[in-house]
Amino acid sequence: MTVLEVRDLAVRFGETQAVQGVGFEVARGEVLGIVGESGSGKSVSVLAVLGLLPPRAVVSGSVRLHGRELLGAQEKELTALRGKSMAMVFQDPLAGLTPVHRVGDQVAEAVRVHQRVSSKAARLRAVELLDLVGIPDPARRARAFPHEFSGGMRQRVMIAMAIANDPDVLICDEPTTALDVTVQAQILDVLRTARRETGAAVVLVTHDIGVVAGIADRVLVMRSGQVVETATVDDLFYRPRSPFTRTLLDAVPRIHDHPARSGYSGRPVLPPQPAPAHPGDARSTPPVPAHSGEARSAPPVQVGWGAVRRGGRAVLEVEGLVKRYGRGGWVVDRVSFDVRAGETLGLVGESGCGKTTLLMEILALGAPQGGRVVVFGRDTAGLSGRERLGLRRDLQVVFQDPMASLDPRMTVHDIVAEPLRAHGLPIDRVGGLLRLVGLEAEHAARYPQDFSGGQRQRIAIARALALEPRLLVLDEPVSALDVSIRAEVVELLLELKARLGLSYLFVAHDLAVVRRIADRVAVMYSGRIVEIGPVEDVFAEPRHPYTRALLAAVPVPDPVRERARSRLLLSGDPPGDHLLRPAGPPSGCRFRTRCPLYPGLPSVLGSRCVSEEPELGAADGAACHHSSGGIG
Amino acid sequence: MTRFLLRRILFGVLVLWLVATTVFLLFFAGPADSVARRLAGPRAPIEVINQIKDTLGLNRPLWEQYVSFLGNLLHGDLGISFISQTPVTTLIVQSLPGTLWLVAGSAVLWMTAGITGGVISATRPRGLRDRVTTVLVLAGISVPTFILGMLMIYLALSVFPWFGLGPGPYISPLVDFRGFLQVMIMPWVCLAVVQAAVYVRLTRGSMLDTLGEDYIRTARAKGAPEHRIIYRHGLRAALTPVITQFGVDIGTLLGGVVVTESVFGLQGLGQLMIRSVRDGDLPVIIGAAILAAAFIVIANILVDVAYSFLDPRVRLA
Amino acid sequence: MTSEEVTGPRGQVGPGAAAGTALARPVAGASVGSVVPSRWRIVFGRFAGSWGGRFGGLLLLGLFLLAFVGPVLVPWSYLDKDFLAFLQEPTGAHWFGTTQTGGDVFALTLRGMQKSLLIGLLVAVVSTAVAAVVGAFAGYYLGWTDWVLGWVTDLLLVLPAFLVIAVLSPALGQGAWLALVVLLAAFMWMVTSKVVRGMTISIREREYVRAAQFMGVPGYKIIFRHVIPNMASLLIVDATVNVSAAILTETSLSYFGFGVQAPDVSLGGLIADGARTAVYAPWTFWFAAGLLVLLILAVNLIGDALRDAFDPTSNRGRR
Repeated sequence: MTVLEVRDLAVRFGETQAVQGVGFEVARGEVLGIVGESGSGKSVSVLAVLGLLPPRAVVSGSVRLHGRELLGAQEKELTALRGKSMAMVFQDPLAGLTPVHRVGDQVAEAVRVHQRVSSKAARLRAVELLDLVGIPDPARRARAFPHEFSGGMRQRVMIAMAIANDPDVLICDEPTTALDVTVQAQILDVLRTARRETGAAVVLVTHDIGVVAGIADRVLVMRSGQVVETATVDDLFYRPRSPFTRTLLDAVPRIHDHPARSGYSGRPVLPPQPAPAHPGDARSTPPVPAHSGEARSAPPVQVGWGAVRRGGRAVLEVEGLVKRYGRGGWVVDRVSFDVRAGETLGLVGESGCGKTTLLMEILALGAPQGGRVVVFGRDTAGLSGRERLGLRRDLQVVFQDPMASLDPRMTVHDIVAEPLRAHGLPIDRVGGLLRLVGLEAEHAARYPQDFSGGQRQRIAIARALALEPRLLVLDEPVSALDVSIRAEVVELLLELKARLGLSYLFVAHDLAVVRRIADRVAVMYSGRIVEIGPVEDVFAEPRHPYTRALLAAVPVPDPVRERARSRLLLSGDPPGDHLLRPAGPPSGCRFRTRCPLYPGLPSVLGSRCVSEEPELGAADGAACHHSSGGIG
Repeated sequence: MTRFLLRRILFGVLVLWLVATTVFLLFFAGPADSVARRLAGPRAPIEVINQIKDTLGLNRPLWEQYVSFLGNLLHGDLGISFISQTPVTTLIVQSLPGTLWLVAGSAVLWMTAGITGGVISATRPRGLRDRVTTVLVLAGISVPTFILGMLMIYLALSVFPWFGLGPGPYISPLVDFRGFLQVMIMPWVCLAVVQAAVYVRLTRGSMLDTLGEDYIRTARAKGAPEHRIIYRHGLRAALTPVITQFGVDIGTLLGGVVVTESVFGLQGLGQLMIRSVRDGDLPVIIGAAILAAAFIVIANILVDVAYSFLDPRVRLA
Repeated sequence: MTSEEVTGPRGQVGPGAAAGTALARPVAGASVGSVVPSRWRIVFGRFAGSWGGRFGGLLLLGLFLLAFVGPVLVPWSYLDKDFLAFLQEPTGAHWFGTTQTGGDVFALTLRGMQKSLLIGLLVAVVSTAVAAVVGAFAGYYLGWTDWVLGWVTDLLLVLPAFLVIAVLSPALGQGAWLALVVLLAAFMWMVTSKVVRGMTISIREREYVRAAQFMGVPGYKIIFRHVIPNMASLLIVDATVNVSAAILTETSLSYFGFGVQAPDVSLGGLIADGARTAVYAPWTFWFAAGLLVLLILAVNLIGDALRDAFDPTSNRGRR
C-alpha cells in the first residue's frame, strides 16, 4: 500500500536546476534506497518532500502522502505533518541536535509538539524511546547534553526523535556517512528496529551502495539531478540496466574477492610518459574508464611491479612508540611495526584508535615520549635541525581533505613549488610534476577551488612528490572523494609507487581500499596494534575478533550475501570520544568490553583477558589470547 | 566550579595589582623634583612643589613609596584629594550611584531594544523591517554620543520644556523620584541609542548564524511551530555571544561612561575622573583607575561564569 | 555533502550546467582562455555594486578632498586670526563664519578633519597590524609565547584606556600627534588579537599548514604566508571598523581637552568650543558636528559594504 508517492519532482535554485523529473513511491514497511554521488540531487529531493528547502528553492511536481498533495500546501499543514506522519533523520547528529538543550528534553519535545501530554508523560516516553534505540542507562542519559554523546549515540537519539510519533514515512538522509563502520552497522540495525516498530515506509539516502544492498527492498539511482534507474535491489545489483549504475557498481571495491577479480581490473590510468596527459576527472560526467580517449593509443602499463620489490630494508621502523596528551590516557600505546622498501603498509582503525596521532608523531621526526622511530635507518631522537630538514625530503605526506590541504590563497604553481622553495631547489619541475599526476602544466596558474576533489588530491600528490621522497605517508587520501573518483586516485597511487619505487604508509578506515593498495595491513584499536600481517591473509582469515568484526561490518554490494551474513555487531562505541573516555582503558585486554568472544568464554579463560594484556606474537600475528579459538 | 572561581579571582587580584603598579610607576617613577613638578603643574611656585614633595614623601626611595602605596591601597585608603581635601574613597562613593543608575537604566533600555530589533530583523532578513533596522542602526552608530547628547538637551530645553527634562547632577530616587527621572531619562536614552544599535547588529548576526545551523532544521522537521523554533532553539543558542558582550560592556562602561555623564552633568564617576585629570588630582586619578580596572575584572569573571551556564559545551577547566 | 546540495550546487549539477562545468573541469588541452576572476576582483565588484559601498566611498572621497584640497581654496589658514571679524556669520570672506577669537571656521574645521582622517587611518592600520602579528604568533606557537602575549593582552584590556591617554596626553607636548596615534593604537589592538588568535588556532590545524610544516617551512614563514593571508577579510573589515572607533575616541578625548593639543586643531575641540556659543552662533558648532557625523557615517557604510562584499552569506554582527 503506497504511502508516499512522488511524481515529476523538480527543484530549481535561481538559475540552476538541481533536480528534474524525479519520481518514486514507497509502500508501508518497505525500504527504498536512493543512491547517488555528491551533487546528484538526492538530498535536495528528500528535503523537498518534507518542505525543508530554503525559501529561494523553487519546487514543482507532486508529492502525495496518503494521497494528499503536499507541495503548495499551507505551512501550518506541513508543520502538523512533520514529525508526526513524516519524520527525518539527518546526517550529522552533532550539528543536528540543539547544543544547549538536554537530549531527553529534545526527544520529549518531539512528542509534545504533536500530542497533548503532560511534560512528565513526555519525558517518560522519551526515556522509553531512548531505550528502544539502544541507549544504555536511558533515564540518566536523557539528562545529558548532545556533546556528551558519541556519534553513534547521537544518531540513535535522532532516530528516537524521528519515531516518537509513529510516523508513516521515515526519511534518512545519509544517516551513517559520518560514522565509523562498526557504528554504521549498529545504526543500520537500529533502523531495522525502527522500521519494525513503526511499520513505516523508509527512504534511505546514501552514497554508499553497499549499505543499500543489505537493507533496501528497492533502489533508485540518481545522477546530476535525475533518476537513472529504479529497480528491486536484486535486479539492480545483478542485472543493472543503466551504464551509469554499472560503472558505479564497478567502482565499488570488493574486499572479499581475490584482487585479480576485484572491482578494479587494473586498467591503466596513466600512459607511460611522454604520451599526452590524462584528462582531468570530471564531476558531472560519468566516471570514464581510463581506456577511452587518448590512452588507447599507448601501450598499457604493467601492473604488479609493487609485488616484485617487496621486502628488503625497512624504510620506517617504529618500536614501542608511545604518546599521551597531558595527563590523559595513552593515545598511542606501545606501537611497533615497520615498513619495508617498496611495500605499502595499510593501517586501519576507527576514529579514536590513534592512527592520526601515530602519523603525526612519526612525521614530527622528533624524540618520542617513549619508544623509538627510525626513518631510513636514522633514529629520530637527537636529530639536528639540518638533519631533520634533510630527512623531510625523503618523507612526505598526503592528507585526507583535498580542500583543506591546499591553501586556497595560493595558485597551484605556488602550492607545488612550496616544498621546492623551502629546500632551495629549482622550481621548473612543477610542470612535470603536474603531468605526472595526470594534470596539465597550464593548470598551474589556477586556484584550488577551480578543481574537483579528485583533481585537488592529485595536486596534493604532486606536491608530495616534489622532493622525490622515498616514503609517502598518506592519511585517508581517498576518504573524502566520491567512490568513482576514489578508484582513479587509488590506481594513480599504485602506478606512481611502481614507477617511482616508493613505499607507502597508508592510513584508512575503508578496508576495501586498503585491500586494493596495501601489501601488509595493521589493525589498530585504542592505541594498540591488534593484528598485523599480509593483507590477503588478514582479510581471508582474520584472527583477532576486532578484525573479524570490522570485516563483518563493511557492507558488501551484493544483496544475497549481505542478507545471508551473520551480524557480528560490536556493542558500545569505539574508544574515540574523549569526552566519554573513562579514566583509562579496561584492564588487561582493552577490547574485552566490546569483544563478541569474551562474554562466551568460560571464566578460567576469560580471567586471562581481564588480567593480562595480549601482545602481538612475532612480526605478524594477532594480539588476542584466544585468537586461535573458534569463531564466536 | 569553585576551583575555577578561585583561579579567576586570584588572576583578577594579580591583574589589579599589576594595574596599580603600572599606575604607580606612571606617576611616581622618576626623580622627586620632576614628579612634583608634574603634579603641581607647569607654573607652580617652588614652595608648592616642596610642599607636594613633603606631603607625598617623594624624597623616599621608590620602593618605600611603593610599599606604602600598596599598603594604603589594601586598607582601602586611596589618599586624600589634593583639590578638595576629602578622602578619595568618599568622593568615589559619592559619585558612584549616578554612574550605576545610568548604566543600569540604560542597559535595560538598550538590551530590550537591541535584542528585539535583532530578532525582528533576523527572522526576515533583507525584508522591509530588516532594511529599516539597518538604516536605524547605521544612524545610531554614526552619531557620537556628545553630539547626540547636546542635540537632546537642545530639544528638551527649547522644544519640549514642559517635561522638565534637562541636564543636571544626579538626584537619588529616594530623595526626589520625579527629579531623579527628569535628570536621568535623557542620559538613559542617549547612551541606550548608541548601545542598542550595536546590540541589534550583534543579535542579528548571531541569530542569523544560529538559524542557519542544522539543529534548526531538525526542529523544523520535528514539526515544531515557528515561534518555538525561533525562541527556544534559535535565540537561546544565539544569546550566548550577546550576553558575554554585554558583560564586558557593563564592566567597561562602569569604569568610564565619561562622555554621557559630562554632557548631562551627572556628576558621576566619569566626570570625577575628567575633573581630576584636568586638575591633576593624583590620588583621585589613581583611585578611579583602580576602581575602573576592578569593574572590568569582576565583569570578566562574571561573564565566564555566565558563559558556562549558557553553553553546556564549555567546561570550566 | 548534504548542506552543499541544499544551499545550492555551485553550478555543477544539472544537464544544462555547462557554464558551471567550465570552471570545475579544466579540459585537457584547452587554452587557459577563460580567466578566473581573482578573488579581489570579485570582492571589489560586490563592494562597488552595493549602494552602501558606492555612497560611502563617494562620501569619504568627497570628505577627503574637502579636507586636503579645501584649505587651498581660502586665503585663511587655521592659525590666522581676523581681528576685524569676531563671531561673524558665514560670509563671502569667511565661508563658515568666524569664531570668538577671529579664527576662520572653514579653515579650522578642515584642519580638524585632516587630523581626524589621518589619526583614524593610522591608528586603524597600526592596531590591526599589531593585532594580526600578536594574535597569530600567540595562536600558532601556543605554549610560552601564548602565555606571555595573553598576559600582555589581558593587562592592556583592563587598563582604563581613556584615563591613561587623558593623563598622558599633556605630557606629549604640542604637535606630537604621532605619539597620540601610538597611544590610541596601543589600546585598540587587543580585542582583534583575541579573534585572530582564535582563528589561528583553527587554521593551524588545517592540513595545508601541516603540510607546510612537514615540508620544512619555518614557523614564522608559515604565519606570514599561510595564516595571516587567510584572515585577510577579517583584518580588512576590522581595520575599517577601527577607523571609526579611532576617530570617535580621538574626538571624544579632544572634546574634553585631552588628545590633540593646541595650537593643533581637532573636530572634538571645535565642537566643545562651539557648544558654548551654539545657540546664538550655530555656525561655530554645526559645521564641525555635521562633518564629523558624515565622516563616521561614510566609514561605517564602507565597513558594512566591505563585510558583505567579502562574505555575502555571513552576517556577523561584531561591533
